[in-house]
Amino acid sequence: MTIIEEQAGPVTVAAIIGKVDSLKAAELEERILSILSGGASHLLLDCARLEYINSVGLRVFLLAARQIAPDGMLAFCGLTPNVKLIFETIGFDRILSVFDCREAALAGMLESRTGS
Amino acid sequence: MLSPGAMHFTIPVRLEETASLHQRVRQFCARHGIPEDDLFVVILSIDELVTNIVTHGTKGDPTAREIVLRLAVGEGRVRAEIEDDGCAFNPLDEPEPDLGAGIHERPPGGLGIVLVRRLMDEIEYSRIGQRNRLTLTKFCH
Repeated sequence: MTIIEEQAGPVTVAAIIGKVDSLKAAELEERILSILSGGASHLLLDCARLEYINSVGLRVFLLAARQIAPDGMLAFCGLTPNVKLIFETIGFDRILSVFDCREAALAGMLESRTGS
Repeated sequence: MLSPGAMHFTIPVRLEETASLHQRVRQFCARHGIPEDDLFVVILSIDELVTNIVTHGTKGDPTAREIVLRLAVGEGRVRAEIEDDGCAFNPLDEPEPDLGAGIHERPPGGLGIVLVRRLMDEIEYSRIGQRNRLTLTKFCH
C-alpha cells in the first residue's frame, strides 16, 4: 500500500494505492489520522487504485469520518467495482460521501464548503 | 468453465500470514477457472475469518496455534474450510452491528463477519473434536 498526498485548493487529496490488509490497516490509520490532526478539514480519499481492502481497513474509514470537524468534510472517489460492492454491503455508501471521480468529488466538496 | 481440484495448507496464527494466503488462494482459484468477481469475494471472506481467528483465537484458552485451510472447486462452486485449534468460538453467534446506524452511533467492529455472511452463499460453523471449523460456499456464475 502506498498513499500519495496532494493539495487541491482547500481539499487534501490522499490516493490510496494497492492493497490494505489487516497488517497495512495500521499504517493507513496512522497516515489518515495524522493528515486530520495536521489540520486538514476537507479530505478526499481517492480509491481509484485501491485494489483491496478488508474490514480492518474499513474501520479506519469510519474512524476518519468521526474525526472530521463539523464544518469539514470527508469524501471518497473512484471506487473500483470490488470496493464499491464492499461499501454497499456494509452500508458505507449511505453514511459516507462517495463520488464517481476526483473531479466530481472536488466540485462537490467545494460547493459544500461555500454553502456552509 | 471450472476445472475441479482441491488443495490444503496449514499456517501459523499470525497476521503476517494473510498476505501470502491471498497469493496462494488467488493462484489456486485462478488456475481452476474461478471468475474474478467470485475470486475477490472468496479471498476477502477467507481473509476476514483468518484475521478473526488471529484476533480472537489468541485470547482464549487453549489459544489457537494453527489454521488449516482447505479449498475445493467443482460442481459450479468453490468451497473453503477454515479450521483452527483454539477454544470453541462461533463467530456467527456474534450480534451483527446495526448497519443503519449513523457514523457516530455505529460500533466500529463486527464488519468482517457481516461481509462474509452477505457475500458468500453459505456459511456453517461446526465444532469437530478440539477444532473450530467454518465452511464457506460460493456458487460461481
